[in-house]
Amino acid sequence: MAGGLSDEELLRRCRRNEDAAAFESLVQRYEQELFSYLRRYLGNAEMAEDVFQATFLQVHLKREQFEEGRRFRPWLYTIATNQAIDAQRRNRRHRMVSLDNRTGGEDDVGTLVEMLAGKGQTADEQMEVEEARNWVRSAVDDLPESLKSALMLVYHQGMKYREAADVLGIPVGTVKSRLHSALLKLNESWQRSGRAVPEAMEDGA
Amino acid sequence: MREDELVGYCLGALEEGESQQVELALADPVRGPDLRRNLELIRKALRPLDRDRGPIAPPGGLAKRTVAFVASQAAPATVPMRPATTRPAPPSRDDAEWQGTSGRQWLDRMIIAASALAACVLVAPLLLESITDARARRAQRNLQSLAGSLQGYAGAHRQYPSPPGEGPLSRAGLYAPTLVSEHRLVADDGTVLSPDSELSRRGNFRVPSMEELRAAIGTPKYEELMRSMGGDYGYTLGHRDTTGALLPILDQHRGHHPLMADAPNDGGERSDNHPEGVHLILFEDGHVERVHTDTMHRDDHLYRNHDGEFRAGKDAEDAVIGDSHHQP
Repeated sequence: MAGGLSDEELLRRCRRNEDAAAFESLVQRYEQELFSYLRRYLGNAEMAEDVFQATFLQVHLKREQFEEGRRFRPWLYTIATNQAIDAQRRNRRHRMVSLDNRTGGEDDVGTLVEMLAGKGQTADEQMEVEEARNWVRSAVDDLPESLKSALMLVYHQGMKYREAADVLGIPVGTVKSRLHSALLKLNESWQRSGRAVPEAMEDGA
Repeated sequence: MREDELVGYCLGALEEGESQQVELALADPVRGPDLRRNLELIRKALRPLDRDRGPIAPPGGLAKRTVAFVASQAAPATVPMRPATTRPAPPSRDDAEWQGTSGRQWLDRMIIAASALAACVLVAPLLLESITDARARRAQRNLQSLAGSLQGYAGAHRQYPSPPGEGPLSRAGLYAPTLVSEHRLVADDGTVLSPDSELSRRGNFRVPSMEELRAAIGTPKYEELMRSMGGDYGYTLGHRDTTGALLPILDQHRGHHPLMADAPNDGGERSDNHPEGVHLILFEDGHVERVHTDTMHRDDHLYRNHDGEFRAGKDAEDAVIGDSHHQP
């Protein structure tokens, strides 16, 4: 029954306390999608699970504050992102060291096309998939927080620039430039690592 | 055509109209070849990321555990009342006997009364402590949440929210509209409130938008907004250099340098957020500490600068937490 309802309608039902299953439907609906986001964002499955639960607790507690006319998904991601940042701060992981090690910020980059055009790298090197995945996760994890969140939302979560801007509370232009910077930095790291750019992946690879 | 538009096109992040414009440009006989070449290079740049594409399977039963967790956490925080039916009845006595007047019965009643009194004496402080502790924990969570938002802001702007050095909006509490309405880094206005504070009990608190603040300048509403916009927490007034210029508030990760705290009352010596004398301080490195009024000004007055004023610090180490309406 809840399957055909929009997220916003489900939340409306939660607010009116008229449908006990509505909240559960929302949680189930975002179980995989949000967990994937948090898992990548935090780099740790256990923390991702904790933050997932904390996010939906906040959704429940703040359901009365959800503004009519707003979309649920960006609101959910805003809460989840803030919860993830909180969790990282609480955990006091290695962030400060990592930030210090990072070179520059968002603006000290050239153009993506310039960087790639001159390299002429062939795509004949087969990467071991798991190793490459771990490398990518590690490289993404090392990005500055602001670049990482833009990359996660647009690339991994498939959001439009506008939706990501809504989640992060920043102008669309800033999302564009952050994503662009993130890709440049990742490719710089990729090339520094001496790896060949992989061939386009087949679906499902 | 900008490169980030081509990236957005590859990722499907553009609006429909924007995508159509890109497609038109790609088909253009003059610009098209270069753009298509660039597009291919961007696709190539995205390939490494493809190695970690796709959903990650959540641990089994996550949704069910989450629903159960939320149900357990969100239940009304009432002290459970023991149902009348569970009250132990005097064994094998009827009411008449229970109300008898024998010495043994009086002794029983005295023992029960004394036990009840002792229990009250022992339990009441624990209950009070528990309530106090829960309130402080909630306040601490709020500050911790604000720490995350401030960090997010600092990550994007390379400085914490910094009020202007002068002018009608040069107030400590401007941090709240900056985070809440201008950058939407705080989803819930109530995060800037301390549980059970006067503002919190009113139930209608809302952080004003920048537009509201600007519109209120010169009106009777202005001073009220200045006093309330920062909620129950004070925010650093930063410091001025030797020329008197107010400097941006930078994140230097200092674990000893306060960034926010329970806001001072009008006396400027303590906060009224926690009647029991506990004060919460958020430090630059994101950790929150509970301190007692007796010790909070030991090394450096939390609410006054080195000249004893409710103004910005005299140097980078002179931390001053200002109430919402305090001017740097």
